[in-house]
Amino acid sequence: MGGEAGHDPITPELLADLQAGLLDDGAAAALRQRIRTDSDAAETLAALDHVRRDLAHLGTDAASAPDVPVEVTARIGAALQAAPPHRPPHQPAHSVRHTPRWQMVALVAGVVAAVVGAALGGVALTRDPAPTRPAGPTAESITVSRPPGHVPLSDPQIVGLLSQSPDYGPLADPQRRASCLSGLGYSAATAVLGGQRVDMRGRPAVLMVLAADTPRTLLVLVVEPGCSSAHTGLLANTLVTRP
Amino acid sequence: MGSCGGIERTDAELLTAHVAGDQYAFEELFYRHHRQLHRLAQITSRSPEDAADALQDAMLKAHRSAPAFRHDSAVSSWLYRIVVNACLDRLRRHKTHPTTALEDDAYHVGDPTPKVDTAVVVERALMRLPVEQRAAVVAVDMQGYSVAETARMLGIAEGTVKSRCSRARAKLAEALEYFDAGARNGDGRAAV
Repeated sequence: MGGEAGHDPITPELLADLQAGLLDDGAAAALRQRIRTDSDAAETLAALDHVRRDLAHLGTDAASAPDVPVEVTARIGAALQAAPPHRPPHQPAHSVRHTPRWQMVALVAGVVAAVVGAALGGVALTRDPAPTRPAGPTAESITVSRPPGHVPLSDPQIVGLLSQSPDYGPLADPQRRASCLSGLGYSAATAVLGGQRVDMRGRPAVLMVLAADTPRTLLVLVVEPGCSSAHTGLLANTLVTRP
Repeated sequence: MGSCGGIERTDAELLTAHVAGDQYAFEELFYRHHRQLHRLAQITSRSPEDAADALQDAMLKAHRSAPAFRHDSAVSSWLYRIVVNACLDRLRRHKTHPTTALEDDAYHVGDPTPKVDTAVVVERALMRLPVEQRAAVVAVDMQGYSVAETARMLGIAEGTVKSRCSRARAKLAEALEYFDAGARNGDGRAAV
């Protein structure tokens, strides 16, 4: 490859080899020299760089990751449940004696369940006495195709809301909307970029789109119609990246 | 994608709770990231069955080794790394197993419609490559491992890692029609 470098056609494969570090130093230098005056070759190399960036992005673009077969997730969830929990390094003597760890875990889980249950407005979770499970698919719920709290619009639909007049339904009154947002921990002056009434598994709800912390990210909140600072009724949330 | 409650612990909080003995925290962390974790496993495995096995092994390993995590990266990055490493290790141990022969021609995935996420289009093109090529670019381009590290993890020569990367990237660029973009844009041709 070295001696003929000046006359070999610059194929995509040759450029890919250059990019991957397969050419010896002399051949690589000669090829780079040729690329400087060959815009097609430069574009091909740019295309290969584009591929590398796409691969890097794929590794972190969780929002676009496809659904997982329920049985896979359920099986792994069960294996994690069966794995022995960690023992914290320091267990104060009094808490071991007076509050056995299983009771502490159940207490914490119960508190979490009560809070989550209140936010859901008394959905099944609170009817389950113990043990409290995170809201993932289980072997029993194998027919459920999505975990509860799934935002009912797709990413393109959500982005589309930005260019439509919003329909906040019961939250049309700006003060009610502001009260809802402040209950959720956002300033009452937070700009709401779009909204629509949606159906959450047979129950009416309101979906709102807010700006997130980067220019291309949108925060989506789905709340109960009665959302206020006293009772927010957050049903689902997600982040969407604008194309 | 959505959460089911208004008060949600962060990844770091869940991991800390898990290390402190919370029996459900790690499972919650897994559910939160399971789609991307499964995707990484699929891309880096020979088959869906291998991917599911590797993912389970990886999650159990992460469950066990959580106390050693120093929070020097995002929890999600740590989980992704453990999954990819488990898959690469599985490929290293089973590299004499025959792989299904795939066509050498790049598979053109066609014009992505505007509504299909670019990442999904790239993923589909990637899945058309033999697992050996996929694993190489997952390690080098996605996880940022050096060629030397990748060679060690896969139990192959560095030159082999490089040539697999080269072939994979060229096939992907062709399948995604990135080579045509310049010609379509009418950028003109330099005098040869």
